[in-house]
Amino acid sequence: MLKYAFNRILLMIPTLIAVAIIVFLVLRVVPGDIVELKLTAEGGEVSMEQIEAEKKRLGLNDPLHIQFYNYMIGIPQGDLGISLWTEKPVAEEIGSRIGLSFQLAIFSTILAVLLAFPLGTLSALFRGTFLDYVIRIITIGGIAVPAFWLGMLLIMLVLSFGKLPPLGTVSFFVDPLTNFNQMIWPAISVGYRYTSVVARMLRSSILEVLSEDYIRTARAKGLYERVVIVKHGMRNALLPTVTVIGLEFAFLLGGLVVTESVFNLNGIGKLFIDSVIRNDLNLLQGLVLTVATAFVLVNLIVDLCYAALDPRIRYQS
Amino acid sequence: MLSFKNSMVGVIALTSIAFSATTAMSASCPKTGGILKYGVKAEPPTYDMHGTNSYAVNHYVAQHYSTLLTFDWKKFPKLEGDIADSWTQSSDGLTYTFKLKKGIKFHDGTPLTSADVKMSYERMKSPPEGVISVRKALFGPISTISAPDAHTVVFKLSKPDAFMMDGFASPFNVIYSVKDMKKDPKWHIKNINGTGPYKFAGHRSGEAWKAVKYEGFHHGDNCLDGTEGYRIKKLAEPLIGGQIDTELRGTAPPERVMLSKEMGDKVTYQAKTLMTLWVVSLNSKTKAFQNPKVRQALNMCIDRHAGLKTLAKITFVAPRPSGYLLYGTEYALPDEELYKIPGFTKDIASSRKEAMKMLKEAGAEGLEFTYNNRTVSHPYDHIAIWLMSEWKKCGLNPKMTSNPTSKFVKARRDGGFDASIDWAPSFLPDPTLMHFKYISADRTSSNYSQYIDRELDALFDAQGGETDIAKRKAIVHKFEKRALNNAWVLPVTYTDRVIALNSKVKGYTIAYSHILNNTWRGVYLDQ
Repeated sequence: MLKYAFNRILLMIPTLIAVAIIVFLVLRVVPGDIVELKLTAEGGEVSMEQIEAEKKRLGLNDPLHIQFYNYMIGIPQGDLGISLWTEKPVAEEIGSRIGLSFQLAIFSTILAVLLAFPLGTLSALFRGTFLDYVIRIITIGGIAVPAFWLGMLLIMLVLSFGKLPPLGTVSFFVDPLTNFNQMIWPAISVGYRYTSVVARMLRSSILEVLSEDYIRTARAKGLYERVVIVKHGMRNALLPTVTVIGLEFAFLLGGLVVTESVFNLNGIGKLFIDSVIRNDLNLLQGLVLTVATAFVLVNLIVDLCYAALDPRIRYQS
Repeated sequence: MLSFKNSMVGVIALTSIAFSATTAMSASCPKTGGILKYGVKAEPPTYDMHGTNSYAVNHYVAQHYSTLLTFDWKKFPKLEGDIADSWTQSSDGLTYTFKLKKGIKFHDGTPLTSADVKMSYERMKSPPEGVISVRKALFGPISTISAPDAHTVVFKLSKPDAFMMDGFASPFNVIYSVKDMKKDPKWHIKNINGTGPYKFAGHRSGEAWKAVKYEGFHHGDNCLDGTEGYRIKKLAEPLIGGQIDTELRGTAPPERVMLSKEMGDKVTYQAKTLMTLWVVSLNSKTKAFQNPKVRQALNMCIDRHAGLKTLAKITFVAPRPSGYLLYGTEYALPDEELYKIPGFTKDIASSRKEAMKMLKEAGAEGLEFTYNNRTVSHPYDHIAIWLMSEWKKCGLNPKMTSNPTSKFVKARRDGGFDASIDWAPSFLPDPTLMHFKYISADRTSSNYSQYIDRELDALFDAQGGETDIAKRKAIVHKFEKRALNNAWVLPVTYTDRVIALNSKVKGYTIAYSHILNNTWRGVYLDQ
């Protein structure tokens, strides 16, 4: 198992280096000018000399290979450069927001797992019944409805009952109630889709597993149905479900671009939008690298879970 | 009609005139306490007021600083002292002497002296290495600044400048402490220490800006315990949901419908024309536009009189045409003269007929050209759609390219467009401020059409040095007529600004620009 984990961690390194190179090159092709935006977007008279001086100061006039060298040298030291907009370290800009995105991802995952497991299992066990149809309608709805639109509906719902939660992130450890009030609505908005995806995956996996020979054998041995389902069925059906949970979790860390804007949450997704609008190359590089790292890490955890759930995988490796 | 008499008296006078300043502690707080929460739709790129025109910086930072002069918001543009106690101007208009109020202290306890004013203005006029000053050009006429004693500052000009007095009241021209500037010329990019009504208490990037009452504020009219600014994307829901009490950039008509419906008498509005002119810049490098008849034809196809009335119902533009100077202000062309200029006439049918004839003569029938638009809904998309339809009525074929802001500004700068939406913001209807954009491209970097017109340059210089109002007005009118007939930059119209406030917010007076009156002086919560 340790060897397996070590091999998987080693594989992360070339993946992240490739991501860093690709994102650096791709962003240099995207048109835009952050200095022009900073100094002239709202009118006023700024000379071309001042604009050029500012570009020079921010290192934007350096040759591409120098910029690339500085960028790559900084990564192993945790130095992702400075945001070209705020001039604060990129790591600080991301660090101040990732906690919120992480918390929202955890909230949504808890919600999804708590709802999806019973829904998916019931739907599979009562296949073709009224209950199955109801659950399938609910879960198809979750996949069809965009999270941001549901978010807008939720805001209107909350408004009809009274006030919206206060703006500005409140830490769970400082004021758990306010924090819960701030996070629950976006968590529901995102969690509905998450629940639906997981529930549908679980349903189809269980159905597939239940038609396997070893399930028939288990039943033929006279095992209780509960044991057949939980011990033999669920455990095997969990493999693809865990993959989906992992991928969805990683997606939530950086992919809540619109939902965070709808709920005015200062997370990674909103920062993505801002940095794209401003053409803040350094910040964008840092964000893509952070999200890529999260994906790779989550994949690693999923793979380790696979190995734990299915001994064949660790033996093969 | 806005009057500039108050600010111009000193220029006309042959002898130096002492202005009586409103120096008394005008503490006018019917109620004190509470935290005012406001929204801002953008993130500040810097904390340095000298290096920016950004409204986001202004809305967050202005409350922390003072300026030499400020405006009386109820009698705008009447000037009054902020840190200046009194001021005089020499008969030749070349020397300004300011006496400062005594006892003013920075938030860190350092006393404010004339040395702080001197060094702040020197920083704006001749910024040190690594410091950006976007007002360098405006303070070009200042030749020397001296501080003969701790509470006197003297500005000497190389030539008279009709705008200078108002420049001393610009909300961006704030006074920094010598101590901070000497510490590091770039200190103010990331730090704040002023003499304004509220002290900086923290900024969480992308989220919130906090300020607390400065007990030693020299005007004493900081009525709140503090302020909290929040970065918002939309205005209506946070205001209805009690997350914010106001937002000072303005609301669009559909938002106001929603606010009124949901909030009833819990929301109040204040309206005033915003001194930002929306224009279309035509690229002088585009071959077709090098023919003045084609440019004029484009201008003449736009039905400003009927179209703007409709447009004003759905986005925040004024419902009437304007020249480059804000309509109705002292130096603007009177309507009867403006409406004689091609493109501004009320008879749109004959205007379009004439335009199509001119296009035919120029061999530009069915001309195809690109229109560079910014992907922001209000008012960009609304203006773009309207202009597209107007030009199509003349058989033209505009193609809109909608670009995110950073790509938009790059295309605008690099000339990557045939026609581009553009804007000319100002905080005063002063010709020096407002006409700067339309002089030759080798003299201003904000002329995105990139044309050269020495006659316009000469008129611009002449008005700036003219201290006689009537004579200045005549020169300004000549400038307006020439520039409008040249049609390199087509004015759309000014912005109608309506701000929404929770009805508990009292004591605020809307100004002619969203960068004015953002210090929260005199504002209190009636709760």
